[in-house]
Amino acid sequence: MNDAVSVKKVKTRASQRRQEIQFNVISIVFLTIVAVIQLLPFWLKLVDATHSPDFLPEVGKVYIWFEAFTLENFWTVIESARLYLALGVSLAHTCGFTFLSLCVVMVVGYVLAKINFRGKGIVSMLLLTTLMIPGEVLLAANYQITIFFGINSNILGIILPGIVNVFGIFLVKQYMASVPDSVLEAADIDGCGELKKIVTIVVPMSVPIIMTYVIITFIGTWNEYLFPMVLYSTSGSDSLYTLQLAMQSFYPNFGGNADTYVRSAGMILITIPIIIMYLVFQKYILNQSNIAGLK
Amino acid sequence: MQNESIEAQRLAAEGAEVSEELVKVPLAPGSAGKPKKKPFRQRFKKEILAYSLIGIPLVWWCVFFVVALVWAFCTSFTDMRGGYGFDFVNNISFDNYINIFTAGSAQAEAFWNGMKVTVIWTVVMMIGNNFMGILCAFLIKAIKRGGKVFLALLFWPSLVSAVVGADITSTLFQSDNTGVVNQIIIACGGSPVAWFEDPNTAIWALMVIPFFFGFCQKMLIYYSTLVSIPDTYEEAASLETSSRVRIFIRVIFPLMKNALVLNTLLSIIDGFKVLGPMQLVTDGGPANSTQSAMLLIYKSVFNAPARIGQGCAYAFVLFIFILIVSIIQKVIAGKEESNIE
Repeated sequence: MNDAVSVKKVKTRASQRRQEIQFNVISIVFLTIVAVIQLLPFWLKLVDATHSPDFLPEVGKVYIWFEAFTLENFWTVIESARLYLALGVSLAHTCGFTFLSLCVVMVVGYVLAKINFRGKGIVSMLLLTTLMIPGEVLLAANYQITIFFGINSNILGIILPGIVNVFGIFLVKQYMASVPDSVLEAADIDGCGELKKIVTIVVPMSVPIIMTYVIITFIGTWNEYLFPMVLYSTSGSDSLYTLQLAMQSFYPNFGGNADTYVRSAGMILITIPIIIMYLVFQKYILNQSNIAGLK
Repeated sequence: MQNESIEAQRLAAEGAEVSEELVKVPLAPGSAGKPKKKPFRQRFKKEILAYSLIGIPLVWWCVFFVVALVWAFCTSFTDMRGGYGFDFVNNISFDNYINIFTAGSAQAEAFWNGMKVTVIWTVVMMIGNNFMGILCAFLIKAIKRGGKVFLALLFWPSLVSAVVGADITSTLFQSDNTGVVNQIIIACGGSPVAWFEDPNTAIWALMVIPFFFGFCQKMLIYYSTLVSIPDTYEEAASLETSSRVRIFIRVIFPLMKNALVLNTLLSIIDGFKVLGPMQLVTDGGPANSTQSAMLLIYKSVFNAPARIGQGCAYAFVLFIFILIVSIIQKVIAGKEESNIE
């Protein structure tokens, strides 16, 4: 009797282990397939970008390894799409927006988290309504407002409209609530002003959330397409010529030349900064427990 | 302010070393006398402080959000034709809205076609992305080793910009023999498909890349929720059944409800404002089969002949749709919550 039970147990344990291994193998195979599907287009782009301009692809053949290798296309795209200019504009746009919005987000987040003032509830609620309304509804209106301020043909036109980043405010606010009040009170007694408190106490204590915010905002701004496109297509000013718009000009819809090799080279080039960011700051990007808890 | 500081200095000089803040605290109630009506500055100290700090951001937000909203709302009742201006007194009427809801008018046709495209896109993306997100998050959590590697590998495409994604779409699905998918079809002995020339296939071809690049964000949110669920639940459940899938469906999945609600909401909002792939790859064609509502709004505002008033009316009807959908979603989510409890 006892023996039978133990034999059965051993059997189930063995079969469980087999099941476990089976499960692991199937999952890994599945995940690998998904990962390959995601990587493959970029690999094909890279191969495409290194074909020499007079290379004629055979019909019915997918090139997955370099053939007629050359880096010429990269130089061509840098020249013809004025990528130096676009890189400068993109960097100014991204860094400017990230820095300004970070300042705003820190101050407003701090005030909402740590100062009990009358009207706080109303202010929070009003700000939260922004998250409900898609910014695209306001596209035409925001365009008109930038004209009103005379910044529609200026890099300020793509930086300034969005710097009160409500998502960021509530992200930071939630984190700052965990900064102990006693520290801030101690600073109060020492006669520390509010701005000084933010800079010397709150900022060092919320480095992780600042990093998360900066990285998310940086990548989001780098990839921003709609509003810069609106301003650029209406004003044509060079100071709005971001990398995304430089690439947009290669699409046949927008009168670009149809050389796919050069276009591929450009796409690879504008994706590289994002990939570098990702490799360096992976830890912060993949740790999104802060964001998941927001709503 | 100056008076106060002088007063404080005087007090300090007299040997009252405690700060003003501490004096205010009634250490010995009654001994401090009845509370006098304090001057405005002191009574609203916190408010002055708070509003002086957030005043400029609030005004800024009002300009680019409240004013913009009011402007768009007012404009939607005019027949503003384009250009720039704040004078919307020309012909105030409900025509723009009436047009949208009059069967047979060109505006109604365009708008409801756009809504159809947008709804198809949103529903497919919502279901597909959330399903893939949950599946991959579950598998990544479940496998013994290499979970982090797969998480990193699967997540990065969500950082790629819409422009690059659209470019990849157009190279994969190019209609002539140079498109990668068509080349594969030819290699397998099929005949090439004109993906972007056929109204029936265009939207599905556009969806593939956003689908594979878009589920990563959702996967990450599901993954961080999964990690936060204590292992003890799963262990307790594993005494009852050895099937991990069943444990997941019965025990773990209900605990992920918050993430599911958040992710569906994000999918809806993202889906309703889709514009990039359509504008870049097909420009709404063929036969408007890929013209999303957002692309229609963009075109009616910025493409000649511009009709800003009509575009704003479209935008508000779209907005009301989003609002209704999110409210329905909230109500359903709230109901489930009360059921569980």
